[in-house]
Amino acid sequence: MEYSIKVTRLYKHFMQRGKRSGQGLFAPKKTVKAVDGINLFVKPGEIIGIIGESGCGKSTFGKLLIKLEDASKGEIWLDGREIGEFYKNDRLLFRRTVQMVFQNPFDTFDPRFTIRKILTETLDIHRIGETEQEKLELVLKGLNEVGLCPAEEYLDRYPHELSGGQLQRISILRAMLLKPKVLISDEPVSMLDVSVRADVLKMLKRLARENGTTLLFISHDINTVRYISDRVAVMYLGRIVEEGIADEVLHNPQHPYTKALISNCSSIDVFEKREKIQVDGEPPSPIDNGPGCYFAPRCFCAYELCNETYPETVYINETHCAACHRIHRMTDEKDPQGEIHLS
Amino acid sequence: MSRLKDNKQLRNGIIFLTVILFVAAAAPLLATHDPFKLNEDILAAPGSKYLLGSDGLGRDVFSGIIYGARTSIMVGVIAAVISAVIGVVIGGIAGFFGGKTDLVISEIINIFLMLPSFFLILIVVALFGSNLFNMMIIIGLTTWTSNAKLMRAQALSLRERTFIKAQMTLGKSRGRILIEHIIPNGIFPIIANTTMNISQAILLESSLSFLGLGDPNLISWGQMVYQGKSYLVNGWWVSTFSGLAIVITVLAFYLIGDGLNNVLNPKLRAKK
Repeated sequence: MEYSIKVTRLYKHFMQRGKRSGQGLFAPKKTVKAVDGINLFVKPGEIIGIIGESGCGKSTFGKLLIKLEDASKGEIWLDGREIGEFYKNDRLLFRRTVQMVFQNPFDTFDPRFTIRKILTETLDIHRIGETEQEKLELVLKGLNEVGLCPAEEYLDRYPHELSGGQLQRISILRAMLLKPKVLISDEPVSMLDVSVRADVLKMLKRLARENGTTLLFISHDINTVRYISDRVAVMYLGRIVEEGIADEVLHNPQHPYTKALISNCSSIDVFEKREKIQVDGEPPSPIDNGPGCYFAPRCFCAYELCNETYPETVYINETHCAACHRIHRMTDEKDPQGEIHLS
Repeated sequence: MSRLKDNKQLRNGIIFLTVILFVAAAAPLLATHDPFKLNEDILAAPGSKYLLGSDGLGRDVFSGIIYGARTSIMVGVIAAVISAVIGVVIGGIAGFFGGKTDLVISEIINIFLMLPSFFLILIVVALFGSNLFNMMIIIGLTTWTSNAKLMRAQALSLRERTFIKAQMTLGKSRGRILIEHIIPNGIFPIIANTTMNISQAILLESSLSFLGLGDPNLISWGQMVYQGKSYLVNGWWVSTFSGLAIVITVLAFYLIGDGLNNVLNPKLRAKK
């Protein structure tokens, strides 16, 4: 089975300039572990959501996939090719294989260019379309497809004349013009008006399905991820702590962090009785985490082992896995004390 | 655009500059004498025959000043443009490419900043002779560092902007991003700085001429000040009026530069 995205043991450590952990001139430099050993396999055409709080490394992970950052360690395979080699051998083909939609639509386009220039230029770079007329037709068709009609009206406008929603549609269109196999969208709706979010999400999902594009959807908003994704991966401090089919993870979370996240998620049903799990403290900094589970200091059900070793990833079923000592005990030893009780 | 009009410095500067440019362009019409011609009256006081007097060789000062405007503006503009082009390219490369390239270029900039450029210019003029062309090139080659520093800072901040990252993910080559996006979006402070550089270049050329290293085949204000120096006691007008011309021109470019800076720089604008 050929995976569309295959990530094995991916690390990205940022060195902190001038700061050393401990005393002395030769103490090792402080490193920020933004991505700390991620494994991820995504099938072609799948939509996978990455959830996590700010600073957990989800954006860095996205940038690693599209080579805006270089990994410190580990391998990324996109569409069956290792991206380092891929990029070296055929830069343009690599760019056509993976595209990105950015968070801030107001800053995604050069303010001096019109929409026409922005879009046709993209085609020019990749030599798509032979004549100017053909390119223009492609652009117009695309604009209609993303719900900007009449398309001609948008062509000669500048980015600052359009709203966030319209710009984000154009941003998605620009990425999809290249028919990428993989599309990374880094919080594409977080800066948009609530009123247009649903539309943009729907369109993104539709385009991904129609083109068979694998979509990596990075967000901190569980509701949008629930809406769009087939599968979900939950990140905490650079690691994936739980992963599985979206509905299963979100309705039957195994990792205490996922539980806390979901229990704090707002619901439209005011009568739904749920107890919120309070997670105290700031997320710890991703520097010098110690040997134990990264979540242990804030976890509501941590015990001694959690502070000693990082838990192995355990498969709850074929598609659902999580990294927590509690699950291990629950499944292996059937220790009633170890079960996590949630009302 | 309204901000352009509101800024008094800029407005006054532009008025001054327009007058100077007009004088330079219409020099043959405005001049009362041939500036090179040695007239019979030596050191004539300002009056109806010689508006601003004549110098020790009998040349008309007024006509000299009018023709000198051409030299000064040409030297100033061309030297400043050379310095802007070099500065923008080098600074842009350093800031945008970063890493080791940046390190090396930054050190080169520091070396150039350390060099006493005026003496460098003196040496070059002494070695290669003093003609206008040499002078413009050498002024341009020694004053680009401020532009390079400005452009580097611009590139450093622009490179983190989303639209630059987006261009990278689209597959544009880094050279093209530099030329098409980084430089056009970061050029405004350099434009303001360049007008300041024009006045500096004019001053430099005048200083060189004052030291007797100017192009002897051209009329320049610096040379007039230099030649008038020996007659300062009995012919004060030669140095004084040509000196005033330098002051006014330099002031005009400074006003424009400073005004542009205020208009284009949002931080300074907010303070008002």
